Amino acid sequence: MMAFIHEIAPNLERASGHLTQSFFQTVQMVTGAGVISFVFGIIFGVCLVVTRPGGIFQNLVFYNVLDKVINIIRSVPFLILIILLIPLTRMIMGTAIGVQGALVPLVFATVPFFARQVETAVSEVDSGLIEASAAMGMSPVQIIWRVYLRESIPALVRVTQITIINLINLATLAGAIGAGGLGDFAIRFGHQQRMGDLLWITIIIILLMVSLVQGIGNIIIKRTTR
Amino acid sequence: MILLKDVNKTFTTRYGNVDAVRDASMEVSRGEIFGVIGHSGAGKSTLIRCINLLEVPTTGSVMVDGVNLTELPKKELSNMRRKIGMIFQHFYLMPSRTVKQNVLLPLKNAKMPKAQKQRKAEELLHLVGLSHRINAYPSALSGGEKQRVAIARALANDPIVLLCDEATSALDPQTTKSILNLLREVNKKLNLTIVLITHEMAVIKEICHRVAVMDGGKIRETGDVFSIFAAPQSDTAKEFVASTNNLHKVDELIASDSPLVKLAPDEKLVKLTFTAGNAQDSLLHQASVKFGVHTNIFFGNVDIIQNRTLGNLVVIIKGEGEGRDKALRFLEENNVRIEVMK
Repeated sequence: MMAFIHEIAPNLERASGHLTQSFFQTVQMVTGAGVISFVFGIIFGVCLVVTRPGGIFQNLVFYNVLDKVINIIRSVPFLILIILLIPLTRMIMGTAIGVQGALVPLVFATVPFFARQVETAVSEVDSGLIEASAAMGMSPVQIIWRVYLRESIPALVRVTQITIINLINLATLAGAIGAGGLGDFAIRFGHQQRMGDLLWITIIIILLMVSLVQGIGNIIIKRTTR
Repeated sequence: MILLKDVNKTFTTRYGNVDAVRDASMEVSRGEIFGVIGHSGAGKSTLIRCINLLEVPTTGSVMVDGVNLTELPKKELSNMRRKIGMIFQHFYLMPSRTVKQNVLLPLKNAKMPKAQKQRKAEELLHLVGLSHRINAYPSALSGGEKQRVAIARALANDPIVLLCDEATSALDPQTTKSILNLLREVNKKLNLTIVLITHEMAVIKEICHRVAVMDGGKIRETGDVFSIFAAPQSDTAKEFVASTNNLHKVDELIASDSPLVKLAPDEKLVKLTFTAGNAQDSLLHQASVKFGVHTNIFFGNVDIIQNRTLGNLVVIIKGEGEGRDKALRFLEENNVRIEVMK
């Protein structure tokens, strides 16, 4: 077994320490930015639905501002976003490099993306259900929790899957400019040191991460879809 | 129980203002089944939504159980809405929740022990005849079953009023009948005031005590169901009543000058409306014997509405002029409404 691994990936043994470290850096970036983005994405996504014209908390000023801000941030390419955010990142995290430095731009890139998808997912809830809930005497806040969020769980899981996978992609990209992680590992070992086997191993690890996200998501979707 | 006064509702759209409801006033008494009939776009959906303020009237007042809803603060309006159940054409059950969870949903805000809520939900599902589907999800139910769950859910907070928004319009005739029976049953059992809107006169005929006819956002006519059927006043009401029988076919025959309605010089085609529940045959027979005329029933339609018979007969009366007139006068004296058609 060891001989076989050595045969197909001769450089693995030497770099395994770096690889493990890079893997955990990527996991840290994805979970850290993921959790924060999930919370804010849900909040802003729901805000978009309830404040838009005809929503249960209709507020056109708030809606239009949020809508435009999301569009603006979304249209800035991630690499440029990282650079633009350096001062802010330094202010918040104390540094603009490493995993910590990557978190701020990752959150900024992911929240608008996820909020848009949450908006779509939540607005798929039949407006009749909202009307029926209001007729039952539910308050708008109760409607958000018990109907908008609860009834769109499968759709929310679906967009969360997409967002996490997108986040893995961005976290790798962040590696190119000093955030560490699997992206950085692939560049330093796979590319600059010409260790092709490590490049492929990186790809396989990321593939497994993506599959895991897909698999868990699909199970939850299956269990919650009625 | 319900009192709408000069209710107006104007929607502002991109294309201008739409007056969905105009100067609507109506009163519904406790325990009554009150129907609102109108074509789609007549404003009846908006009107019924004004009763629980799902639509806030532009002007006018809405009183339910002596409370002016238009003046209530939000929180109290929510409390009041729990006293006003509502069911819909498309049921609007929560798809992610089981039948029982759907019925428990409006009880979430109620202050009672959990076990009592469970019991309440089970009792309600028993009342609507769905005890066996308690753990099913809505997607597994038929339309009629879904509406039964919706009714159970609407009754969860012991409402005093039940609003039915086209509750049977998505159901087949047989299921419609069973849902209407259920509504009648809860109306009697719980002394529940029911307001229902529909575009089907058959629904009005089946269970309503009184009815309002709507058209163009206005209530054109209000009355007890029998009188509306027997003597509709407004054009809209006439049209709806006509839709429930085939009497208009006679008009069509006359208009097309069909040989079926070719009359001899001493014949007249007359429409008789019997509203007093009087024996129709016997009156006709008496008239023909007394005044020497022949009567020939050309077309007939007899209905039982609110336990009273309503008869419409189209009759050819044959005889010389004076006898014919006398016979008609005799019928009129016996509360038969006469309309000479040809």
